[in-house]
Amino acid sequence: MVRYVSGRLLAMALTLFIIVTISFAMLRLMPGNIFENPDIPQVVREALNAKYHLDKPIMVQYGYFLRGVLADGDWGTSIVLQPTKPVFDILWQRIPVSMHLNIVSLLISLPLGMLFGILAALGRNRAPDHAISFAVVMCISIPSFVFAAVMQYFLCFRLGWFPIIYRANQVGWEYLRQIVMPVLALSFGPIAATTRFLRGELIETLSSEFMMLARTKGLTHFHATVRHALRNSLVPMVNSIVGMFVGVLTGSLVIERIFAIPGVGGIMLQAINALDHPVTIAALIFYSLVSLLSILIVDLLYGVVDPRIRMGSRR
Amino acid sequence: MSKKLLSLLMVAIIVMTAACNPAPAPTSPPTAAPTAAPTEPPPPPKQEEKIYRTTFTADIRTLNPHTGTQSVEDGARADLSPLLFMQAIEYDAAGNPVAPVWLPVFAAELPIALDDGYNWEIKLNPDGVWENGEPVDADTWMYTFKMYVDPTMFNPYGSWLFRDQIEIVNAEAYYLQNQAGNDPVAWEDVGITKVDDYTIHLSLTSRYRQDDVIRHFGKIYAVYEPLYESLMNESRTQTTYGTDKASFLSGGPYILESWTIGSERLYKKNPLWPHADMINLDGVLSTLVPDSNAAQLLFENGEIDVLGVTAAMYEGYREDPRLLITPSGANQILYANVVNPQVPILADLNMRKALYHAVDRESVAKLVNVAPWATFMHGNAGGPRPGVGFWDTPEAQALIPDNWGFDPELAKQYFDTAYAAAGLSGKLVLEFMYSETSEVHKSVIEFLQAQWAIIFGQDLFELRLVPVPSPAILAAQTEWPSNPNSYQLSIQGLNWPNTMYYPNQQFKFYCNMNVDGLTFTDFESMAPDMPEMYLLSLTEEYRMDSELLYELSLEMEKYWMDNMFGITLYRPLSFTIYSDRIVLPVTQEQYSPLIGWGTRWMDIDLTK
Amino acid sequence: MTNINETSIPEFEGMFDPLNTEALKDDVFQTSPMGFFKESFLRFTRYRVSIVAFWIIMVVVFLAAFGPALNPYGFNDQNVARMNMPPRIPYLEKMGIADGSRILTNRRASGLSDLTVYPPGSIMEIMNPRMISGVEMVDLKVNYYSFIGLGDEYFWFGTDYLGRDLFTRLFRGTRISLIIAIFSVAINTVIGVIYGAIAGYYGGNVDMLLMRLVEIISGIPQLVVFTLFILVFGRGINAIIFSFVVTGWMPTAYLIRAQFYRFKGREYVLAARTLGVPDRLLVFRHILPNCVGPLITRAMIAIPGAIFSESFLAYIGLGLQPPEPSIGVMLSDGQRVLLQFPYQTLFPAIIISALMISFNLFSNGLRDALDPTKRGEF
Repeated sequence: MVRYVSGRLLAMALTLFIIVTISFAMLRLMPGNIFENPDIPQVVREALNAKYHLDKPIMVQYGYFLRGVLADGDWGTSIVLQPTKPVFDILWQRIPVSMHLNIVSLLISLPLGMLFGILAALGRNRAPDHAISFAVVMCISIPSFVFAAVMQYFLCFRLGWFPIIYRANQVGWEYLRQIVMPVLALSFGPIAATTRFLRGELIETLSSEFMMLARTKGLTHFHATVRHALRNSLVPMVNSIVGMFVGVLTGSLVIERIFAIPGVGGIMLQAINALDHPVTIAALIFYSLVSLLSILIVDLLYGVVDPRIRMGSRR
Repeated sequence: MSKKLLSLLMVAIIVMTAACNPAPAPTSPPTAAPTAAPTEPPPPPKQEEKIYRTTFTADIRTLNPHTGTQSVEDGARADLSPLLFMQAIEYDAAGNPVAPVWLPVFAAELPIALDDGYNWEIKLNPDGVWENGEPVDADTWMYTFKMYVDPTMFNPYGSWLFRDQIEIVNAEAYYLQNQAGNDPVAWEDVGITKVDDYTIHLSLTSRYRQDDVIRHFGKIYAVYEPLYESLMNESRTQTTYGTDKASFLSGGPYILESWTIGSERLYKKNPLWPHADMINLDGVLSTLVPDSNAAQLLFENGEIDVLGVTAAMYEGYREDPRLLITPSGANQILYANVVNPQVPILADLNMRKALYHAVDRESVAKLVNVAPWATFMHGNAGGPRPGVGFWDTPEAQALIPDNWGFDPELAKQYFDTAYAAAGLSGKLVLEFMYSETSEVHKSVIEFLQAQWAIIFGQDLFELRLVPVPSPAILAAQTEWPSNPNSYQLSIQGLNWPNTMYYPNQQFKFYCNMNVDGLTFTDFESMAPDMPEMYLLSLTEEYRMDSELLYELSLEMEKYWMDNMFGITLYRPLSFTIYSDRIVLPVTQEQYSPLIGWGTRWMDIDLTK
Repeated sequence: MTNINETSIPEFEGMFDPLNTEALKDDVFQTSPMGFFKESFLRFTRYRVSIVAFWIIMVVVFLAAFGPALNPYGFNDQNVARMNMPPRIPYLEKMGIADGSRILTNRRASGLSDLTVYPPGSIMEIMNPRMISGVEMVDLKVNYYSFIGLGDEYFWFGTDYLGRDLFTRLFRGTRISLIIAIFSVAINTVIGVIYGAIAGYYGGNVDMLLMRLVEIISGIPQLVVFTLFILVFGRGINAIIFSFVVTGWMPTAYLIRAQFYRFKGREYVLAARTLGVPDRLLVFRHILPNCVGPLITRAMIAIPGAIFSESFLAYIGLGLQPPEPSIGVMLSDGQRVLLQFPYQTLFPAIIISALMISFNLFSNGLRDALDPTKRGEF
């Protein structure tokens, strides 16, 4: 186990390195002019490009970048978005907000999604199933930017139940009130995904032999499902949680824009658009790390939920 | 399973509650207890504070005046940093605003010309202090100037001391001394010197009007040396001064009370500011609202005091008595890349004239709620005398073509001539590149796409739209010297803050051989006489005489129209609504571009 | 060998009567044998909801194919005189739905009698009189068609900011969105299945290597990939499909790989392998059919998903090249004027929801129908 994990961690570091390298090259290939103010004279523009090594070939720039990271642990500073600010400071001030919304949203959507999934599977192809399937799909059937804007109009503006936008520096009750809408908007996707996934998996498992045995033993339908079938279905579901987590984290861009949340969602897009490459690289490392770590955790969890599965085993 | 799952959930909940205070408690460093502050009596218990609640769509990038390259930040810096001069409004006896006046703030008086305009002295205001009570004196300003052009830090805004308006002796040489092939220059040789604790001496490379000196130095914001130095990196190449609340010291009309980056800024009135009595508000709360729908909801809900009315919202407010119209921004101009070998027809003047006459500017204006505009120069450009705009004069009026230049038959004639001259057969396809971020551009260009095909003939002409992400647009537009295929047609609007005084400055872009900025296309080939005229307009003789300058500008405008090296499409308008409780010093009837709305001096009527 | 009935054994002669030799206890199959897909189809026809969903998809596809030709307006016919017209549908308008009415907010009460602005009969209702800055203001409900002076025009779904007919644009957009979605999903599925099968079946170092490759590709954020692709290849349909393929095949590969891990150790697979069944057959005949259900579910959901991704791209400003419409382009254009002209969002939203819901319910039925463990169940 330890050997497997350390092997994976090593591979992860290598993966991350390759991702950063490829992305570095891709970003520098983007056309554009970092110092967009046309007022800056050409001679100054060139000197500024030289200051940030932007005039050198990509390989040399990459060399500078690697030396900074490896020698001084210096990931660079922002050039455009928040000039001179170290890139990870820019991220750190935004990550907590996003992370918090995401975790809360997942904590709500996983149990709910599982519940709906079980109910739908038990009442398979009957009224409850159709009702749940329909309701769940309804919630995700409209893109979040439309849905969030409509909810903002009706629930926040017309009914006044929640604040229209997120405001910084709120605490306690006010804080909870203002995250309701964004969390709700973020949760629909994961709820629907979980429900759908679990329903499908459960239906498959419910028809297997060991379920018949469980029923034969005299367990009720409900018991058999929750005790035996659910556990079996968790295996692939754990897999989908990774996608959900990463998806919610990156997908919050839209929600953050509509509800004016100072989160990390938009930073990558902003950085790409402003050609602020150090910030883009930092955001990229953050996202990749989150995604790689969750893949690793899920692979490990496979073994926990179903000991028969050994990831990496040969045929 | 449930136990494991439960324990997992528990862990997650713990994580969540641990992270449950994402709103970082506003780092409240001891808000610089005013050491030498005049001990004000504790304010009487206030019923309600006058907080002006506004919004922004993108946060300012930095409060450091040396690294911010965006004029967006100017507003915030003027609110928070010490500034030598500031624009205020002068009223006549009847209480009508008549003219803008310059108000010395951290200067004691307006700059004094020592001889013939080459040497100037700025007396500083001995009452000027930082929020912590420390004085803002000659040393503060000398440090600020020095850091603008520090050769090691090489701040992007350094060119401010030697470009555009005022050129300070040796400032450029000092700034660029580390570049290859340049000689070292000592700071002492730069034309800014300290005379005494409250006097600064400037030597300039040329003669200037007092107005120029004021305007130029009215854009320079002081930095607080101890903080600036302590946040400097080891190699002294950059400092994190002004990147957040903790790294900044206020000294403007307001104090930065809190700043949650990307979300919210709160200003409180600064009682130590030299003209604190002129500020009527107790504070300003600016909130980030990127989505215009959300902003409208907030305004309708009474949560903010001002709303920028977009083209889509305009219908809903067009008869609202509160709606203010500001003719603003830069004329939006279509450029043709005349060196592009794929479409040599663009180099033909007839083709450009065809495009010019094929723009139905009235319809464009109606489509996106802008003003029609068919000539080149800015609508706010200055004229021969103070208070008279360029376009107010009959000579300039005569330059404006009938029907805003729209004449489909003439356009078709020009097109046919150009088409025949180019020896084309089949369909002429032109690509129009524009930035994704501008809704208005998109609408206008989609409109032209359909209209031009009708005017020139569906089988002869097609306009193909090429939307590109915003960072790529300027690059594509300006890289024609090295990459002639970079674009064919494109649109750009450039705003020159000085055109009210120097209309000629608008032509800066069209003289790429002489001004080393960026240019959009090879204007030189289309308008060989332009650089000469522009250089002439920069000379002292013309700069000091607005009548002469006006004459020359008229000539340049004519030259522009004859050679058509850019096709004006429209002039933007901006619409704003202030809530009922806001009392602006200027009404729509009293508005003039010279005076503006005077928002800094606004008041709030708490009874509404 | 002789027939036993005809064999006589002398000792027992006459002691036993032969049973009815004609009657076989087994019934002979009266029907012809039924193939997997036929059976699946029969099973599918029993899920009424899925059938309904299927027909909804067919209707949308039909409209996407022929809708733009159903009225005289072209998808790029502009007219500044008829910008942002509200929907107006014959017959329905008599019931008060889609009657071409629109609310004009903040109008001065003093101007209402001006017949040049408000032609006779255009004002339907005056609402919400109030004072703003000392001026009496009202909100008006007008028949926008007579207000503008287009009494006998009918824009079924209204028009957009350039006066283009939204009905035509919507179904042309639907067509394009469907093309993008179906192509990208089909390519994704093929790549994902092959890749996932190899990784899952062979395991070990092959898996390690392939999965690291996937991690690298999925580690590069989609946004970067989208932006670059669109910068390099332009805004055409191909570029968008291509970028969806590059970023979209991994989940299928993951799914297939997981399924392979799950089934390759099962006894029946071991048995088959022991019998010398070659790898190729093991993969395609014995393991892959188990994945068909989840695969189809995923593909069916991925189709509206791709339409969603496309609308996300349009929202962040990387949409299709104008003037070509797509559902995403229309939604993101609509969202910007949601408060002013909600119908511009409503119709594309209905189509995208209809597709999403139908594809989901359809895939539910299809999945059950294709489940190999349910053979013979009805």
